[in-house]
Amino acid sequence: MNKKKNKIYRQPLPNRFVHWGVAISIIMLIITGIGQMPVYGRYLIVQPFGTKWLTSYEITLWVHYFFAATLLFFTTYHIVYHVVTHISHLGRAEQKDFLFSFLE
Amino acid sequence: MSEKISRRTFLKRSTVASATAGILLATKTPGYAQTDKSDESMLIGSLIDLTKCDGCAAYDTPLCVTACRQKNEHRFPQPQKPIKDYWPRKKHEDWSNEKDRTDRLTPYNWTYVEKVQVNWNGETKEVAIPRRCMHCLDAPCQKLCPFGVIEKTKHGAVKIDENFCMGGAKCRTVCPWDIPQRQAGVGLYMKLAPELAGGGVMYKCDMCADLLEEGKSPACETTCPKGAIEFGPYEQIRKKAYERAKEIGGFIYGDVENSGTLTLYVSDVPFDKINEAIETKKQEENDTRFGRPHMKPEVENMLETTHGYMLATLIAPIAGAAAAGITAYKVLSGQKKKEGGDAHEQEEK
Ligand code: SF4
Ligand code: SF4
Ligand code: SF4
Repeated sequence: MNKKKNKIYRQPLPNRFVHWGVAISIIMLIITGIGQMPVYGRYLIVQPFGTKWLTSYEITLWVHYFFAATLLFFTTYHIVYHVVTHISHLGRAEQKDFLFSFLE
Repeated sequence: MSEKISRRTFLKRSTVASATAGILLATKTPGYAQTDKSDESMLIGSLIDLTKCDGCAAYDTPLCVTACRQKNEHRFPQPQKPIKDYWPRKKHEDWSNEKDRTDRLTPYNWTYVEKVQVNWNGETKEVAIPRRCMHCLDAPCQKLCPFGVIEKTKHGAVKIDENFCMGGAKCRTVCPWDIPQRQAGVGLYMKLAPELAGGGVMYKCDMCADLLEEGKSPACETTCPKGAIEFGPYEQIRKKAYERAKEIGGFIYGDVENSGTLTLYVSDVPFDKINEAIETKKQEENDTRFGRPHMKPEVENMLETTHGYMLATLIAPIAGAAAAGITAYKVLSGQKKKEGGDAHEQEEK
Protein backbone atom coordinates (compact mmCIF):
# COMPACT_ATOMS: atom_id res chain seq x y z
CA MET A 1 0.00 0.00 0.00
CA ASN A 2 1.10 3.48 -0.75
CA LYS A 3 2.26 5.34 2.38
CA LYS A 4 0.57 8.55 1.26
CA LYS A 5 -2.79 6.87 1.12
CA ASN A 6 -3.06 6.38 4.83
CA LYS A 7 -1.36 9.46 6.10
CA ILE A 8 -2.42 10.51 9.58
CA TYR A 9 -2.25 14.25 10.14
CA ARG A 10 -1.18 15.60 13.50
CA GLN A 11 -3.20 18.77 12.86
CA PRO A 12 -6.77 19.11 11.58
CA LEU A 13 -7.36 20.73 8.21
CA PRO A 14 -8.24 24.27 9.45
CA ASN A 15 -4.97 24.40 11.42
CA ARG A 16 -2.87 23.28 8.44
CA PHE A 17 -4.68 25.77 6.23
CA VAL A 18 -3.84 28.60 8.62
CA HIS A 19 -0.28 27.42 9.25
CA TRP A 20 0.74 27.38 5.59
CA GLY A 21 -1.29 30.46 4.71
CA VAL A 22 0.43 32.47 7.43
CA ALA A 23 3.88 31.05 6.64
CA ILE A 24 3.69 31.81 2.92
CA SER A 25 2.19 35.27 3.52
CA ILE A 26 4.93 36.27 5.95
CA ILE A 27 7.74 35.02 3.71
CA MET A 28 6.32 36.87 0.72
CA LEU A 29 5.75 40.02 2.81
CA ILE A 30 9.42 39.98 3.81
CA ILE A 31 10.64 39.41 0.26
CA THR A 32 8.41 42.10 -1.30
CA GLY A 33 8.89 44.44 1.67
CA ILE A 34 12.64 44.39 1.08
CA GLY A 35 11.72 45.10 -2.54
CA GLN A 36 10.34 48.47 -1.42
CA MET A 37 13.88 49.48 -0.53
CA PRO A 38 16.29 50.27 -3.35
CA VAL A 39 17.99 46.92 -2.84
CA TYR A 40 17.38 44.26 -5.49
CA GLY A 41 18.18 46.55 -8.42
CA ARG A 42 21.52 47.46 -6.91
CA TYR A 43 22.83 44.34 -5.19
CA LEU A 44 21.53 41.55 -7.42
CA ILE A 45 24.50 41.66 -9.77
CA VAL A 46 23.53 38.27 -11.12
CA GLN A 47 19.81 38.26 -11.68
CA PRO A 48 18.67 34.71 -10.79
CA PHE A 49 16.17 33.31 -13.26
CA GLY A 50 12.61 34.42 -12.59
CA THR A 51 13.49 37.22 -10.15
CA LYS A 52 13.36 40.19 -12.51
CA TRP A 53 9.97 41.20 -11.07
CA LEU A 54 11.63 41.89 -7.72
CA THR A 55 13.31 44.97 -9.19
CA SER A 56 9.94 46.55 -10.06
CA TYR A 57 8.64 48.70 -7.20
CA GLU A 58 5.22 48.56 -8.79
CA ILE A 59 4.93 44.76 -8.98
CA THR A 60 6.45 44.15 -5.55
CA LEU A 61 4.04 46.71 -4.08
CA TRP A 62 1.04 44.91 -5.58
CA VAL A 63 2.31 41.54 -4.37
CA HIS A 64 3.00 43.05 -0.94
CA TYR A 65 -0.58 44.25 -0.59
CA PHE A 66 -1.85 40.92 -1.86
CA PHE A 67 -0.02 39.01 0.88
CA ALA A 68 -0.96 41.66 3.46
CA ALA A 69 -4.55 40.77 2.60
CA THR A 70 -3.94 37.01 2.83
CA LEU A 71 -2.13 37.38 6.18
CA LEU A 72 -5.07 39.39 7.57
CA PHE A 73 -7.43 36.79 6.17
CA PHE A 74 -5.62 33.87 7.81
CA THR A 75 -5.13 35.55 11.18
CA THR A 76 -8.78 36.58 11.54
CA TYR A 77 -9.76 33.14 10.31
CA HIS A 78 -7.59 31.60 13.03
CA ILE A 79 -8.94 33.79 15.82
CA VAL A 80 -12.60 33.53 14.87
CA TYR A 81 -12.41 29.79 14.25
CA HIS A 82 -10.85 29.02 17.61
CA VAL A 83 -13.07 31.37 19.57
CA VAL A 84 -16.22 29.92 18.01
CA THR A 85 -15.22 26.28 18.45
CA HIS A 86 -13.94 26.94 21.97
CA ILE A 87 -17.17 28.61 23.09
CA SER A 88 -19.33 25.92 21.60
CA HIS A 89 -17.58 23.26 23.71
CA LEU A 90 -18.43 25.06 26.92
CA GLY A 91 -21.56 24.82 28.99
CA ARG A 92 -23.95 27.78 29.27
CA ALA A 93 -22.43 29.18 32.47
CA GLU A 94 -18.88 28.73 31.19
CA GLN A 95 -19.79 30.47 27.95
CA LYS A 96 -20.96 33.43 29.98
CA ASP A 97 -17.75 33.42 32.01
CA PHE A 98 -15.66 33.24 28.87
CA LEU A 99 -17.38 36.22 27.30
CA PHE A 100 -17.28 38.28 30.48
CA SER A 101 -13.59 37.49 30.98
CA PHE A 102 -12.93 39.86 28.05
CA LEU A 103 -14.76 42.69 29.75
CA GLU A 104 -13.04 42.48 33.10
CA MET B 1 -10.99 73.28 -25.18
CA SER B 2 -14.25 71.56 -25.99
CA GLU B 3 -17.01 71.08 -23.47
CA LYS B 4 -16.69 67.33 -23.96
CA ILE B 5 -13.11 67.07 -22.81
CA SER B 6 -13.54 69.15 -19.71
CA ARG B 7 -16.60 67.17 -18.76
CA ARG B 8 -14.88 63.84 -19.27
CA THR B 9 -11.88 65.08 -17.35
CA PHE B 10 -14.14 66.26 -14.60
CA LEU B 11 -15.89 62.90 -14.37
CA LYS B 12 -12.62 60.99 -14.32
CA ARG B 13 -11.19 63.31 -11.74
CA SER B 14 -14.19 63.11 -9.45
CA THR B 15 -14.40 59.31 -9.49
CA VAL B 16 -10.68 58.91 -8.95
CA ALA B 17 -10.70 61.57 -6.26
CA SER B 18 -13.60 60.15 -4.31
CA ALA B 19 -12.33 56.58 -4.52
CA THR B 20 -8.86 57.65 -3.49
CA ALA B 21 -10.12 59.89 -0.71
CA GLY B 22 -12.26 57.06 0.67
CA ILE B 23 -9.38 54.62 0.74
CA LEU B 24 -6.92 57.14 2.07
CA LEU B 25 -9.27 58.14 4.85
CA ALA B 26 -9.57 54.54 5.88
CA THR B 27 -5.91 53.71 5.52
CA LYS B 28 -4.07 56.94 6.16
CA THR B 29 -1.13 55.50 8.04
CA PRO B 30 0.90 57.56 10.51
CA GLY B 31 3.74 57.43 7.98
CA TYR B 32 1.71 59.24 5.37
CA ALA B 33 0.12 61.59 7.84
CA GLN B 34 3.49 62.84 9.00
CA THR B 35 4.81 63.72 5.57
CA ASP B 36 1.60 64.76 3.83
CA LYS B 37 0.62 68.08 5.35
CA SER B 38 -1.34 69.27 2.35
CA ASP B 39 -4.58 71.08 3.03
CA GLU B 40 -7.10 70.87 0.21
CA SER B 41 -8.26 74.45 0.68
CA MET B 42 -4.71 75.82 0.59
CA LEU B 43 -3.30 74.11 -2.49
CA ILE B 44 -1.24 76.29 -4.81
CA GLY B 45 -1.36 75.45 -8.48
CA SER B 46 0.56 76.83 -11.42
CA LEU B 47 -0.38 77.65 -14.96
CA ILE B 48 2.38 77.52 -17.58
CA ASP B 49 1.14 79.14 -20.76
CA LEU B 50 3.14 77.85 -23.71
CA THR B 51 1.57 80.42 -26.02
CA LYS B 52 3.28 83.13 -23.96
CA CYS B 53 6.68 81.55 -23.27
CA ASP B 54 9.22 82.15 -26.05
CA GLY B 55 12.05 80.38 -24.22
CA CYS B 56 13.59 83.79 -23.53
CA ALA B 57 14.81 84.02 -27.12
CA ALA B 58 16.57 87.30 -26.31
CA TYR B 59 18.71 85.82 -23.53
CA ASP B 60 21.46 83.18 -23.39
CA THR B 61 19.74 81.40 -20.54
CA PRO B 62 16.00 81.56 -19.88
CA LEU B 63 15.34 83.94 -17.01
CA CYS B 64 13.23 81.48 -15.05
CA VAL B 65 16.14 79.01 -15.12
CA THR B 66 18.65 81.62 -13.96
CA ALA B 67 16.32 82.80 -11.20
CA CYS B 68 15.79 79.25 -9.94
CA ARG B 69 19.55 78.59 -9.91
CA GLN B 70 20.29 81.79 -8.02
CA LYS B 71 17.58 81.19 -5.50
CA ASN B 72 18.65 77.62 -4.76
CA GLU B 73 22.41 77.82 -5.23
CA HIS B 74 23.13 77.62 -1.52
CA ARG B 75 21.44 74.23 -1.44
CA PHE B 76 23.31 72.69 -4.36
CA PRO B 77 25.40 69.60 -3.53
CA GLN B 78 29.07 69.87 -2.65
CA PRO B 79 30.28 66.30 -2.94
CA GLN B 80 33.39 64.94 -1.22
CA LYS B 81 35.82 63.74 -3.84
CA PRO B 82 36.83 61.21 -5.01
CA ILE B 83 33.29 59.90 -5.32
CA LYS B 84 32.97 56.15 -4.79
CA ASP B 85 30.98 53.73 -6.92
CA TYR B 86 27.70 52.21 -5.75
CA TRP B 87 29.08 48.85 -4.64
CA PRO B 88 28.76 46.23 -6.13
CA ARG B 89 28.01 48.28 -9.26
CA LYS B 90 30.81 50.02 -11.09
CA LYS B 91 29.09 53.36 -11.50
CA HIS B 92 27.83 56.41 -9.67
CA GLU B 93 25.88 59.50 -10.65
CA ASP B 94 27.96 62.64 -10.64
CA TRP B 95 26.89 66.00 -12.08
CA SER B 96 29.44 68.09 -10.20
CA ASN B 97 31.55 68.54 -13.34
CA GLU B 98 28.52 69.75 -15.28
CA LYS B 99 27.22 72.31 -12.80
CA ASP B 100 26.72 74.91 -15.51
CA ARG B 101 24.36 72.85 -17.61
CA THR B 102 21.00 74.57 -18.04
CA ASP B 103 19.67 72.35 -20.82
CA ARG B 104 18.24 69.59 -18.60
CA LEU B 105 17.28 68.75 -15.03
CA THR B 106 20.31 68.02 -12.84
CA PRO B 107 21.00 68.29 -9.10
CA TYR B 108 22.33 71.77 -9.99
CA ASN B 109 19.46 72.79 -12.26
CA TRP B 110 15.91 72.23 -11.10
CA THR B 111 14.13 73.70 -14.09
CA TYR B 112 15.05 73.95 -17.77
CA VAL B 113 13.33 74.93 -21.00
CA GLU B 114 12.95 72.27 -23.70
CA LYS B 115 12.77 73.84 -27.14
CA VAL B 116 11.26 71.85 -30.01
CA GLN B 117 9.74 72.34 -33.43
CA VAL B 118 6.28 70.92 -33.89
CA ASN B 119 4.43 70.42 -37.16
CA TRP B 120 0.79 71.23 -36.61
CA ASN B 121 -1.97 72.46 -38.90
CA GLY B 122 0.43 72.69 -41.82
CA GLU B 123 2.85 74.99 -39.99
CA THR B 124 6.11 74.42 -38.16
CA LYS B 125 5.92 75.99 -34.74
CA GLU B 126 8.66 76.69 -32.22
CA VAL B 127 7.52 75.56 -28.80
CA ALA B 128 9.43 76.30 -25.59
CA ILE B 129 8.41 74.23 -22.59
CA PRO B 130 9.67 75.13 -19.09
CA ARG B 131 10.00 71.83 -17.22
CA ARG B 132 10.29 70.95 -13.55
CA CYS B 133 8.49 68.84 -10.95
CA MET B 134 4.72 68.78 -11.58
CA HIS B 135 3.82 68.60 -7.86
CA CYS B 136 1.36 65.75 -8.20
CA LEU B 137 -1.84 65.59 -6.18
CA ASP B 138 -1.27 61.89 -5.49
CA ALA B 139 2.54 61.92 -5.60
CA PRO B 140 4.09 58.44 -5.84
CA CYS B 141 7.54 59.83 -4.97
CA GLN B 142 6.26 61.23 -1.69
CA LYS B 143 4.14 58.23 -0.73
CA LEU B 144 6.71 55.59 -1.60
CA CYS B 145 9.95 57.09 -0.29
CA PRO B 146 11.25 54.23 1.91
CA PHE B 147 12.79 56.70 4.36
CA GLY B 148 9.77 59.02 4.52
CA VAL B 149 11.85 62.12 3.77
CA ILE B 150 9.63 63.60 1.05
CA GLU B 151 7.15 66.04 2.46
CA LYS B 152 4.04 67.64 1.03
CA THR B 153 3.58 71.12 2.45
CA LYS B 154 0.16 72.55 3.23
CA HIS B 155 0.29 74.21 -0.18
CA GLY B 156 0.84 70.83 -1.86
CA ALA B 157 4.50 71.46 -2.71
CA VAL B 158 6.42 68.18 -2.85
CA LYS B 159 9.74 68.68 -1.11
CA ILE B 160 12.71 66.35 -0.59
CA ASP B 161 14.64 66.74 2.67
CA GLU B 162 18.24 66.85 1.46
CA ASN B 163 19.55 66.27 4.99
CA PHE B 164 17.99 62.84 5.32
CA CYS B 165 17.69 61.60 1.74
CA MET B 166 19.73 58.41 1.20
CA GLY B 167 19.75 58.71 -2.57
CA GLY B 168 18.26 55.31 -3.43
CA ALA B 169 16.51 57.09 -6.33
CA LYS B 170 13.23 55.25 -5.81
CA CYS B 171 11.42 58.59 -6.15
CA ARG B 172 12.85 58.95 -9.65
CA THR B 173 11.86 55.40 -10.59
CA VAL B 174 8.25 55.84 -9.47
CA CYS B 175 7.89 59.35 -10.94
CA PRO B 176 6.41 59.04 -14.43
CA TRP B 177 8.72 61.85 -15.59
CA ASP B 178 11.91 60.75 -13.74
CA ILE B 179 12.09 64.24 -12.22
CA PRO B 180 14.34 64.00 -9.11
CA GLN B 181 18.05 63.92 -10.03
CA ARG B 182 20.82 62.30 -8.01
CA GLN B 183 24.20 63.52 -6.91
CA ALA B 184 26.61 61.02 -5.32
CA GLY B 185 29.15 61.89 -2.63
CA VAL B 186 26.81 64.01 -0.49
CA GLY B 187 24.24 63.51 2.24
CA LEU B 188 23.51 61.19 5.10
CA TYR B 189 24.89 58.02 3.52
CA MET B 190 28.40 59.48 3.55
CA LYS B 191 28.25 59.38 7.37
CA LEU B 192 26.92 55.80 7.51
CA ALA B 193 28.37 53.18 5.18
CA PRO B 194 29.13 55.04 1.96
CA GLU B 195 30.83 52.04 0.39
CA LEU B 196 27.89 49.73 0.93
CA ALA B 197 24.58 51.57 0.96
CA GLY B 198 23.00 54.79 -0.24
CA GLY B 199 23.68 56.74 -3.36
CA GLY B 200 23.68 60.46 -2.60
CA VAL B 201 20.87 62.96 -2.47
CA MET B 202 17.96 63.60 -4.84
CA TYR B 203 17.26 67.17 -5.96
CA LYS B 204 14.30 68.80 -7.65
CA CYS B 205 12.05 71.88 -7.66
CA ASP B 206 10.29 72.37 -4.33
CA MET B 207 7.87 75.02 -5.65
CA CYS B 208 9.87 77.57 -3.66
CA ALA B 209 8.05 76.28 -0.58
CA ASP B 210 9.82 78.81 1.66
CA LEU B 211 8.59 81.74 -0.43
CA LEU B 212 5.04 80.35 -0.55
CA GLU B 213 5.18 80.06 3.24
CA GLU B 214 5.92 83.80 3.41
CA GLY B 215 3.07 84.52 1.00
CA LYS B 216 5.50 85.37 -1.81
CA SER B 217 5.68 84.08 -5.38
CA PRO B 218 8.21 81.51 -6.62
CA ALA B 219 11.37 82.91 -8.24
CA CYS B 220 10.61 81.58 -11.72
CA GLU B 221 7.24 83.34 -11.77
CA THR B 222 8.54 86.72 -10.67
CA THR B 223 11.35 86.85 -13.25
CA CYS B 224 9.44 85.67 -16.30
CA PRO B 225 9.21 88.68 -18.63
CA LYS B 226 6.26 87.19 -20.51
CA GLY B 227 4.02 86.31 -17.62
CA ALA B 228 4.04 82.71 -18.83
CA ILE B 229 4.24 81.20 -15.35
CA GLU B 230 1.51 81.94 -12.84
CA PHE B 231 1.07 80.48 -9.36
CA GLY B 232 -2.15 80.84 -7.38
CA PRO B 233 -4.93 79.05 -5.49
CA TYR B 234 -5.28 75.70 -7.25
CA GLU B 235 -9.00 75.79 -8.11
CA GLN B 236 -8.66 79.31 -9.50
CA ILE B 237 -5.62 78.34 -11.57
CA ARG B 238 -7.44 75.30 -12.87
CA LYS B 239 -10.45 77.34 -13.90
CA LYS B 240 -8.19 79.84 -15.58
CA ALA B 241 -6.33 77.08 -17.45
CA TYR B 242 -9.58 75.74 -18.89
CA GLU B 243 -10.78 79.20 -19.82
CA ARG B 244 -7.51 79.97 -21.56
CA ALA B 245 -7.58 76.62 -23.40
CA LYS B 246 -11.12 77.32 -24.56
CA GLU B 247 -10.20 80.80 -25.70
CA ILE B 248 -7.35 79.58 -27.92
CA GLY B 249 -8.88 76.23 -28.89
CA GLY B 250 -5.93 74.63 -27.12
CA PHE B 251 -4.94 71.76 -24.90
CA ILE B 252 -4.09 71.08 -21.28
CA TYR B 253 -1.36 68.94 -19.76
CA GLY B 254 -1.19 67.99 -16.09
CA ASP B 255 -4.85 67.79 -15.13
CA VAL B 256 -5.33 64.06 -15.71
CA GLU B 257 -1.69 63.02 -16.03
CA ASN B 258 -0.46 60.94 -13.11
CA SER B 259 -3.99 61.29 -11.61
CA GLY B 260 -3.74 65.09 -11.65
CA THR B 261 -0.99 67.54 -10.75
CA LEU B 262 -0.82 71.07 -9.42
CA THR B 263 0.94 72.15 -12.63
CA LEU B 264 -1.20 72.84 -15.69
CA TYR B 265 0.31 73.53 -19.08
CA VAL B 266 -1.80 75.23 -21.74
CA SER B 267 -0.77 75.02 -25.38
CA ASP B 268 -2.23 75.63 -28.81
CA VAL B 269 -0.53 72.53 -30.19
CA PRO B 270 -1.51 69.07 -28.93
CA PHE B 271 0.75 67.54 -26.30
CA ASP B 272 1.19 64.23 -28.13
CA LYS B 273 2.83 66.25 -30.92
CA ILE B 274 5.06 68.00 -28.40
CA ASN B 275 5.91 64.67 -26.83
CA GLU B 276 6.80 63.20 -30.23
CA ALA B 277 9.05 66.15 -30.95
CA ILE B 278 10.84 65.79 -27.60
CA GLU B 279 11.37 62.06 -28.10
CA THR B 280 12.65 62.54 -31.64
CA LYS B 281 15.04 65.26 -30.55
CA LYS B 282 16.42 63.10 -27.75
CA GLN B 283 16.89 60.20 -30.14
CA GLU B 284 18.68 62.37 -32.69
CA GLU B 285 21.00 63.64 -29.98
CA ASN B 286 21.42 60.10 -28.67
CA ASP B 287 20.42 61.39 -25.23
CA THR B 288 19.46 58.57 -22.87
CA ARG B 289 20.34 60.18 -19.54
CA PHE B 290 17.70 61.29 -17.04
CA GLY B 291 16.54 64.89 -16.91
CA ARG B 292 14.61 65.57 -20.09
CA PRO B 293 11.09 64.42 -19.27
CA HIS B 294 8.57 63.27 -21.86
CA MET B 295 5.10 64.80 -22.24
CA LYS B 296 3.02 61.69 -22.83
CA PRO B 297 -0.65 62.55 -22.53
CA GLU B 298 -2.61 60.69 -19.84
CA VAL B 299 0.44 59.03 -18.35
CA GLU B 300 -0.75 56.73 -15.55
CA ASN B 301 -0.15 56.88 -11.84
CA MET B 302 1.32 53.62 -10.51
CA LEU B 303 -0.52 54.11 -7.21
CA GLU B 304 -3.92 53.91 -8.85
CA THR B 305 -3.86 50.11 -9.10
CA THR B 306 -2.27 49.90 -5.68
CA HIS B 307 -5.18 51.74 -4.05
CA GLY B 308 -7.36 48.83 -5.18
CA TYR B 309 -5.05 46.38 -3.43
CA MET B 310 -5.15 48.50 -0.29
CA LEU B 311 -8.91 48.16 -0.37
CA ALA B 312 -8.47 44.39 -0.48
CA THR B 313 -6.52 44.50 2.78
CA LEU B 314 -9.55 46.18 4.40
CA ILE B 315 -11.90 43.46 3.22
CA ALA B 316 -9.57 40.57 4.10
CA PRO B 317 -10.37 40.38 7.85
CA ILE B 318 -14.09 40.30 7.09
CA ALA B 319 -13.58 37.53 4.55
CA GLY B 320 -11.39 35.65 7.06
CA ALA B 321 -14.01 35.89 9.79
CA ALA B 322 -16.75 34.73 7.43
CA ALA B 323 -14.74 31.75 6.21
CA ALA B 324 -13.87 30.82 9.81
CA GLY B 325 -17.50 31.03 10.83
CA ILE B 326 -18.55 28.72 8.02
CA THR B 327 -15.80 26.17 8.73
CA ALA B 328 -16.50 26.26 12.46
CA TYR B 329 -20.18 25.70 11.79
CA LYS B 330 -19.46 22.74 9.53
CA VAL B 331 -17.01 21.16 11.96
CA LEU B 332 -19.34 21.68 14.90
CA SER B 333 -22.42 20.33 13.18
CA GLY B 334 -20.32 17.37 11.97
CA GLN B 335 -19.26 16.72 15.56
CA LYS B 336 -22.82 16.83 16.75
CA LYS B 337 -23.68 14.08 14.31
CA LYS B 338 -20.74 12.02 15.53
CA GLU B 339 -21.86 12.86 19.06
CA GLY B 340 -18.68 14.24 20.48
CA GLY B 341 -16.35 12.32 18.15
CA ASP B 342 -12.69 13.24 17.82
CA ALA B 343 -12.25 16.62 16.23
CA HIS B 344 -8.91 15.58 14.81
CA GLU B 345 -9.79 14.08 11.53
CA GLN B 346 -8.14 11.24 9.77
CA GLU B 347 -7.93 11.85 6.08
CA GLU B 348 -7.98 9.02 3.65
CA LYS B 349 -7.21 9.84 0.09
S1 SF4 C 1 8.75 80.85 -18.84
FE1 SF4 C 1 9.24 83.04 -19.02
S2 SF4 C 1 11.30 83.19 -18.15
FE2 SF4 C 1 10.97 81.04 -18.61
S3 SF4 C 1 11.76 80.76 -20.67
FE3 SF4 C 1 9.59 81.20 -20.88
S4 SF4 C 1 9.51 83.39 -21.21
FE4 SF4 C 1 11.52 82.98 -20.35
S1 SF4 D 1 6.35 65.05 -10.84
FE1 SF4 D 1 7.51 63.29 -10.08
S2 SF4 D 1 8.87 64.16 -8.55
FE2 SF4 D 1 7.26 65.70 -8.90
S3 SF4 D 1 5.65 65.23 -7.37
FE3 SF4 D 1 5.10 64.11 -9.23
S4 SF4 D 1 6.01 62.08 -8.90
FE4 SF4 D 1 7.04 63.46 -7.47
S1 SF4 E 1 9.15 77.00 -8.22
FE1 SF4 E 1 11.15 77.63 -7.37
S2 SF4 E 1 12.31 75.72 -7.29
FE2 SF4 E 1 10.61 75.38 -8.69
S3 SF4 E 1 11.36 75.87 -10.73
FE3 SF4 E 1 10.41 77.74 -9.93
S4 SF4 E 1 12.11 78.82 -8.98
FE4 SF4 E 1 12.80 76.72 -9.25
